[in-house]
Amino acid sequence: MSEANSTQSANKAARTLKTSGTLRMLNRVGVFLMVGVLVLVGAAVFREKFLSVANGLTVLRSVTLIAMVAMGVSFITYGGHYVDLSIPNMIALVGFVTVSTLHWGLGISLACGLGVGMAVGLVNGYIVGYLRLNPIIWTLAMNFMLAGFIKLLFAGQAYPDTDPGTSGHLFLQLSEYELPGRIPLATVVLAAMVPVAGWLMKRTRFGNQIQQTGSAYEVARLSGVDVRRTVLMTFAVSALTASMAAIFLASGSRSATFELGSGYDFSAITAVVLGGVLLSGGTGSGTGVIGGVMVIGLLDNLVSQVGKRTVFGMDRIIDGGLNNQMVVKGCVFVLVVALTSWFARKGGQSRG
Amino acid sequence: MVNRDSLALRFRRFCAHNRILVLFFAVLAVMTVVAPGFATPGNAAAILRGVSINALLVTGLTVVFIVRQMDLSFAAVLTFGAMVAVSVQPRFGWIGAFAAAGAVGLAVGLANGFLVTKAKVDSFIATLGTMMVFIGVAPQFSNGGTLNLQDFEASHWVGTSLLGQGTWLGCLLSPLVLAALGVVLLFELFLKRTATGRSLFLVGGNPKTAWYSGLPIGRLTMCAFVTSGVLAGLAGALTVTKLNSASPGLGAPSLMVVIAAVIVGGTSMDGGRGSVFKSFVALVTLEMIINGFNLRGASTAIIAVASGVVLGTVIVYDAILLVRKNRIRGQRHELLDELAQLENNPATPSDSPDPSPTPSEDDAMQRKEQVPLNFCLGALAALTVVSVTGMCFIYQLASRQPTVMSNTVASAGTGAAPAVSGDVFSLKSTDGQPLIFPEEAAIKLPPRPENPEALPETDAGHWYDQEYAGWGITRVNPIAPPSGGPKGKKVIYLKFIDHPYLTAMQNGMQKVADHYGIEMKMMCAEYDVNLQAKQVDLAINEKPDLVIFNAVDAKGAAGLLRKLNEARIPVVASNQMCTNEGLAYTLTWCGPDDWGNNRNLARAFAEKMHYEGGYCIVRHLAGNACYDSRTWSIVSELAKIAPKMKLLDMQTSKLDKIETEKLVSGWITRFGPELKGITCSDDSGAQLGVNKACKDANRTDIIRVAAGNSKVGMDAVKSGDVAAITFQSAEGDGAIAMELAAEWFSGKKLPEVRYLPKGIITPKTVDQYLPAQW
Repeated sequence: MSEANSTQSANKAARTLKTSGTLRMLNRVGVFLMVGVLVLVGAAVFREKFLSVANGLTVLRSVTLIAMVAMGVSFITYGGHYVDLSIPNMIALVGFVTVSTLHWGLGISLACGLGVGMAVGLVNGYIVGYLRLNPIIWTLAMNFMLAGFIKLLFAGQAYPDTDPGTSGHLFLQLSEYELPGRIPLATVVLAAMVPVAGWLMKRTRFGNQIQQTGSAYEVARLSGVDVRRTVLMTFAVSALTASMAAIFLASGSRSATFELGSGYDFSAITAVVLGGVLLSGGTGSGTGVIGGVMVIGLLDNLVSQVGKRTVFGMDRIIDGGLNNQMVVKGCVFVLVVALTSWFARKGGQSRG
Repeated sequence: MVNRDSLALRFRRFCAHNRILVLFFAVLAVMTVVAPGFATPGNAAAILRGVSINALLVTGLTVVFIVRQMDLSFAAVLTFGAMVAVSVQPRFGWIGAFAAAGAVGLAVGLANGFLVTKAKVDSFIATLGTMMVFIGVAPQFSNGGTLNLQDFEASHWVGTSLLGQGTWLGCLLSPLVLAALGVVLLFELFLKRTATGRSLFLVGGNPKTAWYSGLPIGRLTMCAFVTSGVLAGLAGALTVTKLNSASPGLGAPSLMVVIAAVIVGGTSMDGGRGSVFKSFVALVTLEMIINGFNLRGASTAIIAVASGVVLGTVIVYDAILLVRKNRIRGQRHELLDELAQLENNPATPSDSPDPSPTPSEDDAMQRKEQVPLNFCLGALAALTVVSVTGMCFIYQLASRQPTVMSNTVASAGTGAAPAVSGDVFSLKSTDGQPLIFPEEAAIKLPPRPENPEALPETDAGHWYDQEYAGWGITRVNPIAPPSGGPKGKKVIYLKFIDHPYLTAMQNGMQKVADHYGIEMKMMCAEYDVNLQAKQVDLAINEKPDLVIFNAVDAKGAAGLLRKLNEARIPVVASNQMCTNEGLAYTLTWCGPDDWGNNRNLARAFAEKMHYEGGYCIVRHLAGNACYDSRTWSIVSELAKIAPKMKLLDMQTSKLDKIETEKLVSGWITRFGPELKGITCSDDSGAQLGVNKACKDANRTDIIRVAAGNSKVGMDAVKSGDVAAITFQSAEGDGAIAMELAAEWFSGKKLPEVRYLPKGIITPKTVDQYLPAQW
């Protein structure tokens, strides 16, 4: 009797394990399934216009910088600390510092920009990691403070020198230079970032520590992980990638403005969540983030291709514009997170 | 001695518990001393009216925080609720409007609550999703523009004291403030005095215990989200009663301020702790900081830094308390031992630096814990100091060259003496053009069509009232000019956004003000209708001799202009075109002739396009006057002169470079070779996106023209990327407003409308407009 019982429970356990494995698999590749579905829909509806190389490049270009920011943010999320909400003004600050130090040479100005961005990230990391402040609250406050300082120290806009031969001109080349095959520099940087991020997350001690910190903070601490330093490092990584995106952004805009980074905080976290990095921490991957970013890019692209349509005699309700894109993205996002959390609970990953 | 100690201790404990009150009184005291006219009943009323709408949001968010959740959607719900209220009010009255807005809030609250409690989605993410949906839905409700009402009686009533203006009690007794205070008190009592309210604290503070004690956690959490949603919806309706209009950007500025107020008020995001009343006090405190600095005429930068520093300090202070608490946790026993030792031999403690006889392990732990804290604070301080000094240095270096240049240009133009000397027409802008052009020949108005609304949008007549706003209107309640000329008069400039164009504009204004010896003060509304309404209140309290007004929202400004007129303050409306209802309360309007200028641009565009081919339009920010003027002037003009040209699509890209790039790339894919030309409502950020997209797709053959006069745009014209841009002198825009003010002070009759000179800048003529003003 008891033997039968135990076999039964063992069977059940095996089955659960199997289902949970499948579900986890689904969770991991789900975002790529979505990318596939969207591509199929696009191909079926818009045919060769959608499938053209030019359109593919359009989607890629439109998401490169968000992907760069999201890649860094995913470390924070992986470590269980949501997001760095100071990213918008961090980007603006890095843009201003980089552009206004250009007269000292391109190398120095890039170093200054990255350095300032990293400094902000380190402060965020120290305060969240060591003082254990709520990351949302602290980074929000940081965003406030940075906004003030930027406005205080820099007037309106800063322009790089555009005359050929100056470092300002070189700086503009960062966003204009293209590798053979019309691949922009930012995409190359991103392409290099993906395997590095994957390696950091999955193959190094640092990655393991982030995962442990993210999945069970107390357990990680008690088993000897320096959780505080780990959290600090995740914020530093995020600040680094955000600063790199900021440099490309400023170069592309040919100027630094207060609004340079506006919206990047929420679009980055959207991509991260779509990519399957659970907000409770400890799951997800760098490639998933790329998948999430692609979903956003494809959704925007598809909606914009729809163009103006009259529905129920109401003009301008569907125009393929930014507002339509926002609504579609929002709905897909809500649906996906609800499904993800359902899968996660089925797979036994739910905490609390 | 014991008594005094305990008193000090008690005081410290009081401060720790009610630190927001301490902060409140500190800010109150500082501002009373520093800001002139701060501690007056009129200003108090302005502050309270200013916070009344956010007070509802703060209440809702506090409740959500207490149950350990987050709500990001309330600002978007406010916008949508306001839109619904405006559409419902004409048919069902105010009660219907409030009910409809509340119902919208209820629906969103239920959706959020469902996602969080049933689907178990993290609340940060769930509300981020609903926020995105409603940010997208709200503008579609109004076709991207502003919806407005004409019920000025109601908006006057809600903002006016029931007891008479100008008394201390009176400032509390306007319906708007009473509603806000009522909600705050109601929820304070509900949370602290009812079983349901108190169980919310338990749900947030310790969900497990709450569950064991049989509380319906899901339902209570749901209740919190519904509260937040309904209050946000009602706040939307309340905004409509106050402003008489609803625009797509209405709620967005509230998001961060409200979250900041709740945090400063001491409500913990970890749940179980907080007070609606304290959040409200925090909101008032933050508002007082902004108000006080505004009264002093400080720049928006100072205000932003001050609010940021207050928020940061409060948060770090909290963190320090937390670290200290954690450090002494579990060590009470030894503390008692120490105390006992101190009492036994009270003379010795100062002798030894280390009071405990044997440095134990705990001590080592303590010091270890202290290191990161000290290091952290040190790092923060060092970073602040280094970054501030470093960036000041960098800024000085970077800005040296242009400053020197503009100085020489200015002094060459005006001569050395800044005060009244020579003719105002001899002043020059930084681009070498005259600052003020003599008035152009009067524009011949075409006859107004019978019913403009009935004409198609592609007909210029449809837009008649917008294009020729301000001409031939009867001024309501006109104000007689003062005596004594312009010298020594005080003018307040209500700027609508911090933008390089407006900075140049303000410089031009300042030059003319210096010329006449007029005292000028600026307040910037940051593209926020609510903030502009507050600043109008401030301006009324200050009683200037004249106000120069840039409307944040063309339709929404009518109520504000009416208010200024009722306070007998003359207004020169400038730059942003208002509707005729609003302009009736002003002396005059001056600014760029956007419609005329863009018609000229359309002609240049058609010529380049050889009067055929498909084109697209990148539109301005929705809600801005240029959203229509820089679109329909071109469409209607081209329909007239080049019927073979076909409009393919028009979209706004929020003037963002990356968004524009995406938009234009999409057009190129969609329309292919059919697309021959693109006009853009902005020649800086958005135009860069257009150029990048064309270059990426190898479509540099697409003819591009743009509105504006920025450095980026002129560089693009010079390099041949852009065929033509419009000439619109930013400094001249500001100068003409101040010039008209001065003329009015001198008793001259003002024109109904005064346009800036028009012009088209092409690669041939670009050199005479360089260096750029902004």
